[in-house]
Amino acid sequence: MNADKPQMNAVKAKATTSPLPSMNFFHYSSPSTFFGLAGRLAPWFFALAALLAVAGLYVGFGLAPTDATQGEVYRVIYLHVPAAWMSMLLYFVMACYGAVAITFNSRLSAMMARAIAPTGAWFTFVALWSGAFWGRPTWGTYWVWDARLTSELVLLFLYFGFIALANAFDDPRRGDKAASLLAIVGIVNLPIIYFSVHWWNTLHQGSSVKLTGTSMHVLMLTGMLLMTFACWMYAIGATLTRVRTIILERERRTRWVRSIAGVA
Amino acid sequence: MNHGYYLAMAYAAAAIALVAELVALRRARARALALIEGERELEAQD
Repeated sequence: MNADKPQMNAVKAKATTSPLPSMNFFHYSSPSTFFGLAGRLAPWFFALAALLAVAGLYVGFGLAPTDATQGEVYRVIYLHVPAAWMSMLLYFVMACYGAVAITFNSRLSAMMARAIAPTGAWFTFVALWSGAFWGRPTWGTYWVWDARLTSELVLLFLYFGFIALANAFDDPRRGDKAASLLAIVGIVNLPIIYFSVHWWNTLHQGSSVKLTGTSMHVLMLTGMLLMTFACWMYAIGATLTRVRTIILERERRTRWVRSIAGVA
Repeated sequence: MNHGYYLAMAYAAAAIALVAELVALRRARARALALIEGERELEAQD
């Protein structure tokens, strides 16, 4: 036993004096280390989101041509399509974090899932709302119980259900598990949303952008992609900001939170 | 048909929702910090 000691001490010394502690994959899986990283990154993501949004809106409203059949109202796509894409992407990411939280009992993953949910719900609401104001002049109605619209509404209810379930327990860890389970089960709705326009006869149009190509004008596509990246950056910034608050609440009895609370 | 109204309603609602989310984020952070401060004071009293 004693013969092993110098070797173990050497390993310990090597671990503590490593010049690249951040290269360790699990270094930021601890709430205390991730808190600082999230605080440093969030403002950059917000700034990037603002820049991309300005560029996207300039291309979309200033440079892109008017649509031949829909007129000016088609410009809702610069908000509607990115919001709809983000609503699905964020749900998928939230469910993945939920799965990791359940499988590995990881605290930070559960916190990330909680942090994503309100922003995901926000994007779903924006997609539904902007879609309604696109539908009225093009279809003649704000709402129709069409497969695409209904499944997107179900997604909004799934987000609400996740948030409600996560906060329904006195013990937050139990809330995490229950909500994560709901998120995983609800993932079945994502292919339904995506393929609804192919599986059923819907009033909602099919995809204009596919992996094989697009039928859109290049400037319309550029504006839409810029806005998509803006929404993406905003979602990351908002999630990182929210997870910091969740970490503060959950870890408020720890020494490291007490020490930084005055400056956080 | 006045398409400006529909565009304005879509984007204005998104802008309001954006501001609401950012305000909610700030309030949540302030609430968390107040919670920590409250517990710290309670501990000091003990």
